[in-house]
Amino acid sequence: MLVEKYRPKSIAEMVGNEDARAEVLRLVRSWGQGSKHILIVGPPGVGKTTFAKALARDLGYELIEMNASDERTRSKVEAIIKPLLLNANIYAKNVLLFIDEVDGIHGSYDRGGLGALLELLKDATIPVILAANDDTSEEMKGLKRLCSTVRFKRIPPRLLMLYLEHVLESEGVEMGIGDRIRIVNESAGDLRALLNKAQALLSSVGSHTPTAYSIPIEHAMNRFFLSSSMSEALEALSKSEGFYSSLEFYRSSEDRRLDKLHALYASIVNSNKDIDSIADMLNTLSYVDTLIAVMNRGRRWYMLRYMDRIIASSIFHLSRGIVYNQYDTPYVLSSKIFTYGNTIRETAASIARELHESTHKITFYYMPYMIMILKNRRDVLEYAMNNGIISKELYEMVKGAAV
Amino acid sequence: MIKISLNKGFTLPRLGKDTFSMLMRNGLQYDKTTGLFAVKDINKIDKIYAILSEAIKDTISIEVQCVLCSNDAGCSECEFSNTCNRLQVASKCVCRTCLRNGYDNYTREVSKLLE
Repeated sequence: MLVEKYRPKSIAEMVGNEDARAEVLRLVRSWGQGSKHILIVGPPGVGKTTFAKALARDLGYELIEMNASDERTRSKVEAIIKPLLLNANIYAKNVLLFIDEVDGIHGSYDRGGLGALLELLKDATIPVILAANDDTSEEMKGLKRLCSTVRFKRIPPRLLMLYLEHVLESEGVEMGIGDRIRIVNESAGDLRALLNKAQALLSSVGSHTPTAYSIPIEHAMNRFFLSSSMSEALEALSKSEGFYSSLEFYRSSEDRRLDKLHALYASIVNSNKDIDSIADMLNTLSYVDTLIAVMNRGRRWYMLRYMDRIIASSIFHLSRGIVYNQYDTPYVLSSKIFTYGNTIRETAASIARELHESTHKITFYYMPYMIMILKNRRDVLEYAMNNGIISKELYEMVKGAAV
Repeated sequence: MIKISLNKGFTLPRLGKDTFSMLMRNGLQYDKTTGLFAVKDINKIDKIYAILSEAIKDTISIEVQCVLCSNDAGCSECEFSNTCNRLQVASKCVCRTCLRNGYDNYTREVSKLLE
């Protein structure tokens, strides 16, 4: 189980509540007989129990645990805690008592357990850490007087993501950003829930391989193009997901559906397929693109199921032999754009210096005319007159002066 | 938008005597020399938020601190800004840059804080 496997062994390995952890650490380190005990209050899954265990290990304490909601009667509480507190000095090691779910000791009605606990805590010779989900009840007031209260809050989503990524990396598995975000959001600051959800997702398909759930778009596309059957191709498509190494590239699910389309488009236009096959495949993508726009506009998510099927059934046969390509412009074209772009920029900058104009103005206003003139080898003055740039009189005057 | 930073001083519009004293009783403090407010008791942030929401007819955004670099964590641009309840989560998080540095860096830095 991931929850057990990745339970932090040291308080430094935990995530979230850094100030609260430091505060409890300080209180335990400085604890002496007569000092207040420590009450950790916080919602489930924020690491109260884990913290107590890790803290004891870090500071070299022998931890003795008790779950207060199981032992609610006076006799049981006394039977467990009294011998421990009275004989604390005979232990070779320092002892730390941890009482979990202390807000459950009074339950729906008091069975004497809380009263016994309060009496024992007053004279305790060892530090006691108590944990509770809630401290607002009347019964907890007496306990709070004997304790320094430290609050553990829900863990911020980014820290949950940090931990999830650590777990996935340690397990050697990949998970799409959509799944990671969903798990983090659904966990609502509860680390235990996060790991349980991750576990459920990983084990739901019985395998810890990247093929099991959403997969990076590059892998999915290559699997689609290499698959030997339609069903295999459809599976690859349905599992593909925009997969980015960093969260900053995460966008909406609508965007990620378009990512799939972009990946297919880029791969197809960069392929060596004949022009008719490429045109057929692009027609399909165009149709699906329209479908996505209709779906998004009308929020008709039921249509989603058709998207992958239309793509798979329409381009499966034509697309055999294509490989994934991330650039949406064919290399021949993109290299020309790059080279011409550089030449145009350099030429425009040079003309701009000569004419004392901005490069921008030269590029967008002057250059189209210059290119047209050079291309057609026309008389500049004649061209200017014919296009209404200069008047006929001016043309004749300049022409005459030149002669 | 009014931004409440949990790690440094921030300004508030004029709130009136009653609201001001209510805020002072509920974990906010005011520095007369700088004119800046600061959150003194982080556990009362929900009360501070409630009082300000009542008094100010504007969006109030809470900005938490990056535990590693001590800068603002960048809550307003966070990927989880829609789902993160900043009144309920811990007062420190990680900024985008520190998140990129990974878990090992986080534990290394936090262990220094815990020494």
